[in-house]
Amino acid sequence: MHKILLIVQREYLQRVRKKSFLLMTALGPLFFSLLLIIPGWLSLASLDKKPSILLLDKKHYAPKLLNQNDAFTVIPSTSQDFNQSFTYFSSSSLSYFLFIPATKPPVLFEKEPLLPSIARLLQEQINKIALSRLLDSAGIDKQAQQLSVIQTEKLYTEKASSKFEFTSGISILLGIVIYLFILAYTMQVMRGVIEEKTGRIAEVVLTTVKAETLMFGKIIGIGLVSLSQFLIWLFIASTASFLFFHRYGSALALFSNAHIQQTIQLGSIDPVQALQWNQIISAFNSIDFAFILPIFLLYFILGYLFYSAIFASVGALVDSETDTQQFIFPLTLPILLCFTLLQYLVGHPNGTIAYIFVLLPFTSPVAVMFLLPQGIPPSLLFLSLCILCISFIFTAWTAGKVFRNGILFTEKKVRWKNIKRWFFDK
Amino acid sequence: MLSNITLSITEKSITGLLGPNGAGKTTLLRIMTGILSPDYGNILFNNILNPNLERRNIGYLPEERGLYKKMKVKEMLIFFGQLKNLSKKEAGERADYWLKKFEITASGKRKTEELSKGIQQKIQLIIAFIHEPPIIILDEPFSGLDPVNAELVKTIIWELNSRGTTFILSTHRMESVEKLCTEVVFLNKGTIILSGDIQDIRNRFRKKTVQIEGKGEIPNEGKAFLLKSMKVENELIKATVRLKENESINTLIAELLPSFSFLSLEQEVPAMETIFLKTVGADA
Repeated sequence: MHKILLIVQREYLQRVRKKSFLLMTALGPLFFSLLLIIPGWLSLASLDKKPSILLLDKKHYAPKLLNQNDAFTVIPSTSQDFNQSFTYFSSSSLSYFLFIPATKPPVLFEKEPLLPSIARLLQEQINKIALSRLLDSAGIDKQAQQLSVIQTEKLYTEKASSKFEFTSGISILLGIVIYLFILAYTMQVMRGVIEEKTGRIAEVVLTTVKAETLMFGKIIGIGLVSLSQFLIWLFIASTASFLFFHRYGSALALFSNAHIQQTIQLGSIDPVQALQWNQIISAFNSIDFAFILPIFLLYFILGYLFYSAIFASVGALVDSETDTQQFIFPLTLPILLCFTLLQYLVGHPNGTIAYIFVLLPFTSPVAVMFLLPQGIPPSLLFLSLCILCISFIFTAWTAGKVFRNGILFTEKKVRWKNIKRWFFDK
Repeated sequence: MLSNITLSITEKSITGLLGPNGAGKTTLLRIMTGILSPDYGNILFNNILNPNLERRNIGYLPEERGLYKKMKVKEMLIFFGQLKNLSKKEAGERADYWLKKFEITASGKRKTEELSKGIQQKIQLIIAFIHEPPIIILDEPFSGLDPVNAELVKTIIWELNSRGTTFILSTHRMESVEKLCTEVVFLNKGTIILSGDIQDIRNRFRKKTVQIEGKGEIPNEGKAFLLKSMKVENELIKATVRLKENESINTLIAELLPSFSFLSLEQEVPAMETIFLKTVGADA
C-alpha cells in the first residue's frame, strides 16, 4: 500500500506542478464559458436578422395571420398598386417582396436568398390560409374544418419545456465534460506508460513494485489530477455563481415565481422578457444538483478507471505514440457514437438502443449523462453502474497482465500470439 | 531463451556473467530480480523461496538505461529510496552521500534530461546502491563510462563488497571481470557452459608449459616434465619445460631442486578472454 501511494504521489505532483496544468485549470472555465456563450450569442445574432417581407395582398389574406410567427415579419404595402409597391421595395432596405395576385399564384421577389426553413414556413402558412378560404367558400363551417385537426391528450405530467431543455443542456454539457476528461486523461495514462516503457525506467521500478501496482499507481495518480482539475473548475463556477447572485440576487428575485406577477404589474419591464427570465430562473432552481452531481462523479470516476486500464495496456503494447492510432480509433468509437446518436437517444430514451448504450461500459458514462433528464429507471442505473464496476475490474485484471509483459517488450514488435500467451500467464 | 539453468551465487562474492550477445544474460538477470517469472523453476534467496519478499534486498541496474527525464535528480533518488523502504529523511541523506561519493553533488538539483549520459549512468548506479542492499545486480555497469569513471565505479563496488554486498554483474569487458570478479559464469545459447571460482577456472585452463630461469642442470626429460627448449647466457639458463599429464609444478620443483637453483618460475595462465573464446568456441 505504501508503494502504490508513493507512485500515486509522484504521478500527481509531477503533473499538477506543470505550468500547462495550472494554465489549463485557469483557462478551462473560460473555454467552457465560451462554449456556452458563443452558440447563444450566434442564435441571438440570427434572431436579430429576422427577415421582413413586404406584402401586397390582392386576395386579402389577413396579414395578421401571416404574421403569427417568430421567423419573419410581414410589412403590408401602403399602396395597393403593384408597380408602386415594387418601386418602393426596390429602393427600400427590405430584401423580400411577396406579391399575392387576385387570380395568379403568389410570387416572392428576393434581393438575397431566403432561408429554406423560412421559405417552407411561409409556403405552409399561405397553403393553410388558402385551404381555409376554399373550405369557407365551399360552405363548410369552422367547426367541421376543425374535425381534421389532431387534438393531443397528455396522460403524463408535463415537464415545463424550458426547464427540460435547460436541464437537458446541463446534462449534455456534463456528458461532454466526461468525454473530454476521459479522453484527455486516459491519453495521459497511455503517454505516461509509453514514456516509462521507451525511457526504460519501468525495468528499475519493476524490481521494487509489481507491474500491477505501477499501473494502478499511475492510473490513480493521473485520475486524481483530473478530479482535482474538475473540482477546481467546480469551485470556480460555484464562486462565480455565488458572486453573481450576491451582486444581482435582488434584481433576479423580481423574476422569481413569487414576485413575477408583481413585477409584470409594475409595468417597468417588458412582460415577455420578464417571463423569459422567470423561466430561466425557475429552470435553474429546478435542477436537482444533489442527484446529478453524485451520478456524474460516479460515472466520471468509473468511466475514467475503465478506459485508463485499457489505454494503460495499449501504452504497454506499443513502442511509440504514433503506433497508438490504430488502437485509439476503435476504442473511442463507441463513445463517439453517443454523440452521433445523441438526437436519437434523447428522442427514444426508453428504446432498446438507449438501454444498450446505458448498460454498455464503453458508452454508459456519456449516455447516462445525456439521458438523465429523461429519467432513467433506478434499477437500470444501478445495473449500469454494476456492469461498469465489473468491467473495470475485468479490464484492470487483463490490463495488468498485458502491462506486466508488454512494458518489458522493448526489442521486438508485440504480436497477437504474445498477448494471447500473456493472458494465460501465471 | 534459457533452459535448465542451475546456478548458485556465493554470498559476498562478485560474480561475473559472461556470454555472447543473445546468450540470455539479461533474461537471467531479469528473472533473478523478479521482473520476469520463469516458465518453471525457482529463485531462492538465503534458501527462502518467495523472491517477492526479497525484492527490496536487490539493487538493479538494467542494461537499457532510463530515468524520469523531467524529474530533479535528488527528488528522483528520494522517490526510489522510499520505494526501497527508506524513510524520506533517510533517503535524502543517502542521496546526498551517494551524489558526493560519485562526485556529482552539483547535479542533484538539476533535471535528468539536462545531464550528460555519463552522469545519468552514475545516477542509475546510485538508484541501485541507495538502499545498500545485500545483493546488487548490474547489467553492463561499465558501458558508456570513461576509464576514470569506470575505475571509480570499480572502487565503489570493491568498497561495498568488502562491507558484505554480493554483486552479480554482466559485462563484455573481460579485463573488468579479471580484475573485479571472484566468480564467473559463462552463458551460451541459454545454458551455463562454465561456472565457478575465477582462480579455479584459470587454473583449470592453465597451460602445461613453464618458464624457468636459474643456474645448474636440467635433463631433457624427467619424471614430471619434458624439456622443450633451453638457452644459456653467462651460465644463466632460460628454459621452457612441459609438465606431463597429472603432474604439478610442485613435483617439477622437487625433481629439479637437487641440481638446479631457481631464480624465477612462471606458469603461463590464459586470460579470461582466451578462456571465454575457447569455451564458447567449443560449445558452438
